[in-house]
Amino acid sequence: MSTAVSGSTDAVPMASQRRVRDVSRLMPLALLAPGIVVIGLGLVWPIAAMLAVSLQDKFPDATRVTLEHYGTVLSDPYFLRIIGRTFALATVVTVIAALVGYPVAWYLARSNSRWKHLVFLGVIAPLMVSIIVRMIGWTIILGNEGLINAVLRALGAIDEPLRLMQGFWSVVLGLVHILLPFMILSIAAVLGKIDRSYAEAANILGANPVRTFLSVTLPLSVQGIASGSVIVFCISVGVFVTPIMLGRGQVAVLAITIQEQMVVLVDWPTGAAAAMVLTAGTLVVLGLYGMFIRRHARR
Amino acid sequence: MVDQIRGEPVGVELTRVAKSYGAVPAVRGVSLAIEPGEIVSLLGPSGCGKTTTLRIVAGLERPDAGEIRIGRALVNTLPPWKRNIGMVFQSYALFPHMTVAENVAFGLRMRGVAGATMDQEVAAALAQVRLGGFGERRPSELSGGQRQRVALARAIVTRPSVLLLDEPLAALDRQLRESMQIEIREIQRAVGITAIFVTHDQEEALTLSDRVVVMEDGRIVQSGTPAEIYERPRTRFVSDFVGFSNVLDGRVAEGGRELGTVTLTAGRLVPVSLAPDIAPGDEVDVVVRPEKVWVAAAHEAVPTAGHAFPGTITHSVYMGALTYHHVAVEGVGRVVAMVPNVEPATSGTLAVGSAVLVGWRPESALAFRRNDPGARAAS
Ligand SMILES: Nc1ncnc2c1ncn2[C@@H]1O[C@H](COP(=O)(O)OP(=O)(O)OP(=O)(O)O)[C@@H](O)[C@H]1O
Ligand SMILES: [Mg+2]
Repeated sequence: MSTAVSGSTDAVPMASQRRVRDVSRLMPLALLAPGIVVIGLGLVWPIAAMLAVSLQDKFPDATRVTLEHYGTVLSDPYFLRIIGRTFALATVVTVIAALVGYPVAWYLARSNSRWKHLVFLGVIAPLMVSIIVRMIGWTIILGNEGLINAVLRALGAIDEPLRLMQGFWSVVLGLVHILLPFMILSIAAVLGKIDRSYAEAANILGANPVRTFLSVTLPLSVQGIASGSVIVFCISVGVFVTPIMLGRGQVAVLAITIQEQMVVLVDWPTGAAAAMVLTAGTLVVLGLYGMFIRRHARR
Repeated sequence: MVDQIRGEPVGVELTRVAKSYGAVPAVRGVSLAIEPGEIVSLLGPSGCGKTTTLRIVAGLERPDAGEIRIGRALVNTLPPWKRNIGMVFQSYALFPHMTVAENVAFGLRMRGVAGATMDQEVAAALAQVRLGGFGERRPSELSGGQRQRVALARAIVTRPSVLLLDEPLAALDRQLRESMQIEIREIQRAVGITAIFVTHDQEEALTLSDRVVVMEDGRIVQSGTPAEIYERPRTRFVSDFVGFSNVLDGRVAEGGRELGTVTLTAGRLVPVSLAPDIAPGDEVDVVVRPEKVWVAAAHEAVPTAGHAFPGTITHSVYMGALTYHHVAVEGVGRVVAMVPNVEPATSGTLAVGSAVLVGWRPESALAFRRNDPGARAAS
């Protein structure tokens, strides 16, 4: 832009030329402003406030700045177990969503079937239903009086209802269900853009379908897996409703604990420190993703 | 299984191969035998089924009917990864996540070649396409011509029995294209490989191939040496496709033999060469290539005995090495003659407006029955 202007300088007075350049430089800022405001108010401000609270000995009525709450959160076995469970939950959900989502994404990206649109609708349908409704749906299926237990009992396979509703894995199941669409859409978007001639070239060079997938298609679609995983991981690391509803209080995760610390125990600084640990974990994942993307962009 | 003796070229044979995409027929009964070591080009307009034919040979498409043999083996149901074929795609299809060397090594790795042997063969293939030292680059860091050469190296490094090339030069500029044509030809000879080359550029087909196969509408209309295709096109379509011609319409006056005469609509009787199935009274188009037409100033001696028609130069297009003279010939119409500029064109006697004589040898004027669907379908 500015070179194009200075390319024909002779007739243009210097001052107006500078004005043109200033306007063109301010334009992107003006366009970015609304986004910056939203991000600032919605993200930076709360995190800054939370950080401030976590460093105070008491809240309100702080007397000094201290790291003791971080010490508590990072050394108390109670907190450590919850932190471990939270990140394990998010990791397991992400891996399962990727494994389950990839074939569906493949189908969406590659199939010419006329059922494809129906499958696509099925994939995004969960996004249109509120989380609570979906959780109640799972309760109807998994609960002690729910569908599975009813069927098994009718078949005489069990006498006592199976306790399907309180474990780690029922929460995993619920989260995978909620978050799968993000994974599928991320992967399908990338798969759909991969030219088929790459796989064909690999075939002709002697690679059977399995080797073609492992050495060509999978590496070329890894960006879709990465972005889908980041979305799924970051959402599941902070979940609150699902563990409560499907875990029946047995699956404590960080978000629940933070809420308990703040609202039930009214220990704001410890809750804030736990929240900062959660945020830091998420940022680490985002940072790894950023590094990955930058390395990939060199191609 | 396909003959996998390295360095031993094999033939390819298609027998009545047909393929439709849904209701759209792409290839309708193609039969073609390619000799070991031969380089054959498939030439034809867009959508005539060239790519589909090539993909059937590669195994990327399953034909609806017909047989494909590579060497002596019937390969109809053999998947591409077992056919030992090399292919250069129009888009090159270099793997973007691999370096140049990794791209070239891919086929070797799939064949279990590894370590120092692999490195050596990769280096040799890159040297053959004059890209030694480019191994560590990414395909995105190469020019179009360099990518094309990597694709060629990747295709030949495994010493395939057959090399398939789908318009590999279409994206290159003219100069690069011409030097790549020579390069492909030399590498093909050096490796001694059977090659099928798809193009819709007639000049490329004529320069590059031992044999040209002209396709139209999913069928082969003519197959022959470049000279046969150019000099003795069997149909009007082939004639039009492999170069510009004068077209004069008329009715056959005298036929039954190879040489005959045609009474042009404009009035004159001209000598022509006739296809066997053309009889007196048939409506025909007489096709004469510009370089077969001679022109001489009216007062000069006639170069060949026989037919000479008086006319006037209406227009000349100077092209450097040669000049196209447009001549209005009474009783014939407008005839374009190509004259090599042996003498400086500025001193020529063939100025616009001058009276000239034009003529051609009877065997240079080919008569084709007009709008004859039968002739088009002949194969
Ligand atoms: N995957 C496909 N699905 C449906 N129709 C196809 C497909 N591929 C090719 N066709 C059709 O088959 C016919 C032959 O196509 P093909 O690609 O073989 O032509 P081509 O001779 O290679 O043309 P071009 O010079 O444009 O590359 C065309 O009518 C085309 O529209
Ligand atoms: Mg094509």
